[in-house]
Amino acid sequence: MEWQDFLRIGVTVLGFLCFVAIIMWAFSKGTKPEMDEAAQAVLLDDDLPHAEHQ
Amino acid sequence: MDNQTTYNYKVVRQFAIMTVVWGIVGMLVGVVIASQLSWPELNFGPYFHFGRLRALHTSAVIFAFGGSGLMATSFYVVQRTCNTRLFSDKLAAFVFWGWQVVILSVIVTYPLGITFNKEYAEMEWPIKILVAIVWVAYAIVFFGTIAKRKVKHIYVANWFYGAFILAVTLLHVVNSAFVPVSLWKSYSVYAGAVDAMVQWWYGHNAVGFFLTAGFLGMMYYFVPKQAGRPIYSYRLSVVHFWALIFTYMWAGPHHLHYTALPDWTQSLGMVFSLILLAPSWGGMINGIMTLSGAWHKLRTDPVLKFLITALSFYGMSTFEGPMMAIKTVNALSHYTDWTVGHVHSGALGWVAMITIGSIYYLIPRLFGREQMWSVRLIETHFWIATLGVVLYIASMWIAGVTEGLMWRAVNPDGTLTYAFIDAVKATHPYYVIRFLGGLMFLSGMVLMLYNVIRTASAGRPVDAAIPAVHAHA
Repeated sequence: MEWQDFLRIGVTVLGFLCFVAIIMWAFSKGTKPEMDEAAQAVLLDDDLPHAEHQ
Repeated sequence: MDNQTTYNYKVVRQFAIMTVVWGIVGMLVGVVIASQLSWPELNFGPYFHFGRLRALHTSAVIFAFGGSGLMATSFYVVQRTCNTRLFSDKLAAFVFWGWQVVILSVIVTYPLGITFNKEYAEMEWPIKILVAIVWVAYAIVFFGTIAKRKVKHIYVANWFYGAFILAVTLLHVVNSAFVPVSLWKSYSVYAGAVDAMVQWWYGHNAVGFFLTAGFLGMMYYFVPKQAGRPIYSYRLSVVHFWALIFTYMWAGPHHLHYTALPDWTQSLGMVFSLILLAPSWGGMINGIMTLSGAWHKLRTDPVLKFLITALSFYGMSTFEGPMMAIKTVNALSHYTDWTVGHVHSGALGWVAMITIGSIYYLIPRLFGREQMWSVRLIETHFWIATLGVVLYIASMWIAGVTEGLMWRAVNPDGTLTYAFIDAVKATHPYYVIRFLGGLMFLSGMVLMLYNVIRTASAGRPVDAAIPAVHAHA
């Protein structure tokens, strides 16, 4: 049973570290341009019907 | 017509209209069972009895109404944000018709008393297999579309939809594991407390991934679009996503407080439920703050009102949920109508309202119109629906706390102060108010159907052209 417990603890700790890494990545300076662009891209896509009749 | 220069709006249109239709059917059954609780004489024979219709109500609103709404919006969002037509038109059509067959077979079998006896998963094994097949087809269409996308970045709404599709596959397969004994009868492969734990691992994650992650996908697309502003913090949305994914899976045991489930599992469920408050509120704040600097739009735009009110109810019910998961609070609230009130503040306030707002956004675009036939009717719908939800949840809170307090009251000699029937009598007026609240919410949906029909008949079905990928900054 011991190796099973070790595995469980390992997965939990690894999951937590993974989450912390994601937070650090999301809020790092390098990702800002890509994220801003992604947020804007949805708005740049004009899906109102009047635009398509041309 | 497999035309790669246009989007596939046909399947979106079909699902969008069926969302409204199934919404009316599911909520009508809800109003029927609410009236059966108020006036028990309305329970006719075995087929029209509360015990059978209740499962029909929950499945119809969650899987028929909510499911159709999720499929309509996810197919729209994934196409628009990936700049490409759906992966396969034929498979998408199969998803639509397959899902309708699932719904119809549920409507036929539940009143007949054919049941697997698991909450929110009552369909018997032949229907379960069909659900699995349709769901895999849905996943192929969705992820296939993402695979052939024309833009590099996968927009956050698609992450939420994708997590919803994957998680529901897993939940459905594990919880449905059955041993068939005849064509219409099978038993769960799990037994006792394990069966209960698997059931609530499924049940709560159906809330977490079907009724939360999927609808958050809606929120992350339709709130920015309708408000005309980018999401408040895109970075927060990424953290929001992963926080939900990492924590939701363990909240299920809070449905089994003070049962035969091991105590440590109950405590773990409680702790994870409390942790869930953080990602839930992070997401809610992210959605509502999208409007910062444009609050005035709320005054004139009833579609935005639906979307933002949905987020407010989401915030309320995700605060209430963790509180109710605390063991000592649960000792009062469990098995009472407080739970029913909590579920409906999430189901009517959050799930239904975000869906209604999104469908109002979609319908004109799917029929070549600039807006719905009547914007004033949307406004009326909004107020009827909001008042209905408030009546519903307020009455159930009072009823629930009354029941909880009456059940636990003891005399100095240790005997119970009240007989069970005393609590039933005390809650009767609130059951009638709940019926009225539900009836109001249902009437709002009927107005919506009328508005949708008028919009559709004034316009014509269109398949929008796929625009060139916009220039990268």
